[in-house]
Amino acid sequence: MSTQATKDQSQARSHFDRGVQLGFILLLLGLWYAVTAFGYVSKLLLPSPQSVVQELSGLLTKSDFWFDVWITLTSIIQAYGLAVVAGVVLGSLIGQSKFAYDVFQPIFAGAFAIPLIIIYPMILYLAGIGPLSKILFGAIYGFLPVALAAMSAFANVPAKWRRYAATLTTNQWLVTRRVLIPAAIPELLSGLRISYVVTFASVIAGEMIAAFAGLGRVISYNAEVLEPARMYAAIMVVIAFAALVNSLMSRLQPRSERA
Amino acid sequence: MTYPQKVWACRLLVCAALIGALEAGAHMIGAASDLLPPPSVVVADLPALLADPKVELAIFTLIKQLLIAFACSILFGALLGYGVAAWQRIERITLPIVLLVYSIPQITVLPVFVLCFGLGSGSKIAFGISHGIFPIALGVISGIQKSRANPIYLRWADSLGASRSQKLTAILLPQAVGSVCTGVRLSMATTLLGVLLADLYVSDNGVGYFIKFYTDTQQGPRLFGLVVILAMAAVIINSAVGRFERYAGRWML
Amino acid sequence: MLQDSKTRMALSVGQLTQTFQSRGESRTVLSDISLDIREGEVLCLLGPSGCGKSTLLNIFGGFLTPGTGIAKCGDDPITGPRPGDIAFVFQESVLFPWATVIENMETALEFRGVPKAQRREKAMTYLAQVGVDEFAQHYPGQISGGMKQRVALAAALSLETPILLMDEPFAALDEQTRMVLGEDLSRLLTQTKKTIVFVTHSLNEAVFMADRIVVLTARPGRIKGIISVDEPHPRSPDFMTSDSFSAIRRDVYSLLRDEIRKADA
Repeated sequence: MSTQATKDQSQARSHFDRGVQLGFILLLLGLWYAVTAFGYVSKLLLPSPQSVVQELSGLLTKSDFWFDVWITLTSIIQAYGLAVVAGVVLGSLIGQSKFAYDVFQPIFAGAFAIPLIIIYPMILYLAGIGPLSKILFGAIYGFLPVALAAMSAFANVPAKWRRYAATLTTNQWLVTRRVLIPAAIPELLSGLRISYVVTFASVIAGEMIAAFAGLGRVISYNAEVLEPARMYAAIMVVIAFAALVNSLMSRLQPRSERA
Repeated sequence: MTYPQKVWACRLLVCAALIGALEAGAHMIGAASDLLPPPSVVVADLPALLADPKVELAIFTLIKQLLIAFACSILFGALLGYGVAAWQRIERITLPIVLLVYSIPQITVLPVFVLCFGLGSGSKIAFGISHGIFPIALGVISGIQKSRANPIYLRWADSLGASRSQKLTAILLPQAVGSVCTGVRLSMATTLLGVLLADLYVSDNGVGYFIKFYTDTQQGPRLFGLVVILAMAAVIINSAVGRFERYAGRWML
Repeated sequence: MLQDSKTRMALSVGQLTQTFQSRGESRTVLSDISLDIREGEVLCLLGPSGCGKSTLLNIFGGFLTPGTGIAKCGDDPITGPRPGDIAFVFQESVLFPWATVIENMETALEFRGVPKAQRREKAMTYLAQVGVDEFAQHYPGQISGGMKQRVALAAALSLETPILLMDEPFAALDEQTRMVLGEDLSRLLTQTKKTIVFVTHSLNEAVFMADRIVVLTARPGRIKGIISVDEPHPRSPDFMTSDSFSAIRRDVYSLLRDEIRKADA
């Protein structure tokens, strides 16, 4: 057995897997078309794929919709920015000391287990039904996973590297820059990814529960006025957007782990 | 004082300081803030809140919905996870699909749940399940993957002529238990989140409704009472499952 | 070669006793150790598991402060790691996985304050000395354990410190790899004229590389005996099959044997 042969084999196998996955998705689409075309389900519950595509192209050419996209996008960016800056700063400070980590980690982990959506109405009341309320809410929710990842990343840098660095230099700033930060980055990145997912969902949730504009509002509004085709079209835009950023972020991986 | 005692003392100190800061802050804002009462007032108001039969009903309904959703999450999640990971061949095809579905921000499809299951308990339970099922499934999958990564134990069992069920209970399950517990803990939190999201969105007469109602009518002590109860419940459940998780996974260290 | 009585001491400990507290129990690991290590000698610490040989090395390295007694580097008491004087090779790989071999070398030199312009050349010189220069652009995850320890050795040598401490540097490697590494090391160390203290479990390694072998007793570790190996460096593989090698090896083993049984009991 040459390695080339096994390589070809595994490549063929992964092509086969892709094919089955694609087939599965096509099957679902076909099923969707069939049940709507033959009227097995109410159009209110599940509109036909053609009508959703039609609504989608309608949405994408309307300037109102792009305004909603813009509102959601800027809210997410601001919320995520706040969450990341606050989380990284506080988390890395706590992670500097094992004792501080042991004290604070369970507090933050406990807070992250609370369904924070229950404080959203209060934030809404204090900050008003504008972008500010969802930005604050998204930032608070997204802050926790970043802070947790940052404190654990720094607190868990293997002792062997600290010892090794100590035999080389007494310059703590150099050790932080060249050892602690690179060692912390993989875990920090995964925290940043979780935080993005959480912030994104929080902002959309905020918009759906109460807002004048934004993609979440487009979804909930079209559900209320019984325009399911348009609602599905908006859902697809949001999912596509989330997936796009998700795949971009999963590319952010340290060099050594790619190989 | 031993190290763990010191850690606990400091942790309590931090929490006390936070509560103290809230108390002082609320007093500083003074009467202007009906919505931001001091913690002492919230605690004093708790009995009155719990004596309200409507609130009581809402809480019991929430607990009922949560338990049903959680039980279904565990059942369906375990089945899904096992179905995906039991055979490596199938896993390679299905796992990317599961991860793809999991990566969809579920909040976007909440209105679809409401359309399908109506405005009552159904949509809340269903939305809870859709949130709770994935952590369980992924925990089971990663547990099975972990057992598989250590084939030496399975080979040892084979060399002794162990049966399939013996291998399952003696070798696969113990190795998977840590990941599964992590899944259960995460699922508990996400199920609760799912139920509450639907509750707040639908806002008929559940806890979500009261949270909105107390906010709109500026009944701060009531609002915070409810928030505190829910938050405490979440934290306690989370740390209880976490404790079991560490106990079940203690051999890993 | 070590007859000059005026030779300066590179490292020394006097009446050192080291006790650890764990879970309310106190364990004495080292007891009343006095040892002078001359400049330019290769000294090996040998003893049964748990006899405190790594503890002694860690005290020299400045990772532990002596319980009672004193540890000195030259004339200064050792109070912490001394980057300018002492380089350390650890038992496990401490190469940073996120940096290539050459970047790892350069980081070590950067830490020592070597100007940027000189780092690359210096790093390549030492990588070539240990024979891994062709792997300079690889990540540690892509090279074998033996290669990793060679890189760690190159990094320690590149610091150009007068003293080199090695804590079971080849423990994680297979026997053939460690034999080849041992030969290369013997050749390299003769060229560098460093003071070297290393810990090992391997009798062969100890006899092949060391000028003096310090045998420690089972816990608490005391000095049981010191055996000199009067074979000039660099030592050829033929030394390992010579009668003098076998004789010294037998002497060391007879000192060690009872202690291994005690430690095991």
